Amino acid sequence: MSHCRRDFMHAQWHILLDDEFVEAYLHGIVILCPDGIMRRFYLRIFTYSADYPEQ
Amino acid sequence: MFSNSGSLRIYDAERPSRHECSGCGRAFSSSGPLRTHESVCEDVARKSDAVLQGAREKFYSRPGRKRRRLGNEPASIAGPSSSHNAVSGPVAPQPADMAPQIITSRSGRVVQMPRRFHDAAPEAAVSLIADAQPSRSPTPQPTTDTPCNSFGLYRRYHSSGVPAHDPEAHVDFDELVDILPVDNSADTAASDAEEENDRSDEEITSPYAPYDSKSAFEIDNWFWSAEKKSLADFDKLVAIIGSEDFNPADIRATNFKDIREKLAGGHFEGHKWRDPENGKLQPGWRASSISISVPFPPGDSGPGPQTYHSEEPFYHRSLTQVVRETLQDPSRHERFHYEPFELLWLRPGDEKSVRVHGELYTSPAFMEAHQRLQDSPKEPGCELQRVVVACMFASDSTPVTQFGDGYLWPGYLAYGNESKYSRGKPTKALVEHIAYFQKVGRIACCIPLANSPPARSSPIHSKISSSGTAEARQLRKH
Repeated sequence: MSHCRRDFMHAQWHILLDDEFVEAYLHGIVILCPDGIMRRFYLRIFTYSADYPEQ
Repeated sequence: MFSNSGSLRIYDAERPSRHECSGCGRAFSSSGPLRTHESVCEDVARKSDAVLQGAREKFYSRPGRKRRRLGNEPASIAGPSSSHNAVSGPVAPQPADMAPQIITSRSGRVVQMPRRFHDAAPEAAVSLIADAQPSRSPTPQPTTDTPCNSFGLYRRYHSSGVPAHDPEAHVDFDELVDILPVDNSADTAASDAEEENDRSDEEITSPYAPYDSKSAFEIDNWFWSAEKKSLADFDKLVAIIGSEDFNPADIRATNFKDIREKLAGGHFEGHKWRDPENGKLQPGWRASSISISVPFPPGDSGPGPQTYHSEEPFYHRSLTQVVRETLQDPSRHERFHYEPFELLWLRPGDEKSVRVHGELYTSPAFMEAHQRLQDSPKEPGCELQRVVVACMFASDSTPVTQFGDGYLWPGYLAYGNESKYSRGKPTKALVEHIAYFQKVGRIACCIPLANSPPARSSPIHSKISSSGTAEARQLRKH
């Protein structure tokens, strides 16, 4: 059952961290900031605070 | 820094060196008779009164000053003002070496405030407009240091210049302190109350609203007051309908169904991902179905891996879309750190500075990620500034009802590029909702039993709930 819970959570994170996210992670996304400067933003995950879903 | 007793010194300084009264100008042969004269001279009294009055006005005209000890006689005014000298103003620039504050006692004697009474106001980092100087230390990478603020804190950027965008420049004093401005909150409360009044004037006519009359209210109140009625409740009902101001006509005119709907309506906003009007998904929210493989042992002894589909869809938002919206928000742009820096503290008298840890955008992890990104090959044909967006995810199961077992499991996204002090304020709403996680409910698997008689070979549905692991084990045995 813990295996199912863990897999279930991972499946949801798999949906969240979709191809679009991976693209932004690797190549960045270009956004026009409010100060009029274009910047290329790279998404990086620093922390993830949560319970163990399998428990 | 204003010092009231300075005025006393002015009075002293104006005293001429010859023995001459500072008020009326009368000359004396020695200091003794002069002092005797000055204690009674009206001109001297008037002059010192004027000085004290001026000091008093200056003291009470300072913003945010509590008006206490207002009734003091002029002679004792040096007391409260000198004790307040310990509190420095919000923007008062202090010397970097944090020199102890000097105050003057009532007698004019210069004393030092004990260190424990020093109350330094918080201060943001020095603005980047001030000239930053490239570090002289021969490090492989160019670094740029900003000047120290009054606490000896300064920023070190690992670049040859400071960034054009300075998020600390927009930090004002209110954001550095936790106290609420008393006057403002009182005003807000007053205006809120006014608004409340306005609204009630418009919508609510009856003091028993949404009931139209006292009779209707009392009857309905009686109905809802207890689930099971007792004899005492019956007596209460008799008291209500038996009272003289009970009007059956009011009851007949009241539409209780409407009132119940109004009372039940409240301000429930509905699920975040659903439009309360039509039940459609809110823009940006998506619903995906989740499926996982449940590994039953393969072969004769078990059905082998089975696929489980969640009953409810998984509601979530596109992360890149959320980030895009955030970064295009002008109010968040101001405080968004595009470049990390080292926060260092130089203790007065020390040569070496100490690293200060606190924010993600000053952390070694961020510096490292930033540096690695700058060192990585650029996108072909792209010369744009490359910025790390520090995603911090969090999720926790949250009870949504006071009673019962309604739970939601929201997933949040916060940015390490923003100050933790801002993120921690719910009113700022800097943390994004990104998902509502589902939990594994009851696992219904389609399990064909291989070695069973044909009558039982049709797929059976086995339900595994959280307490149903024994059931699963039993199934595996078959």
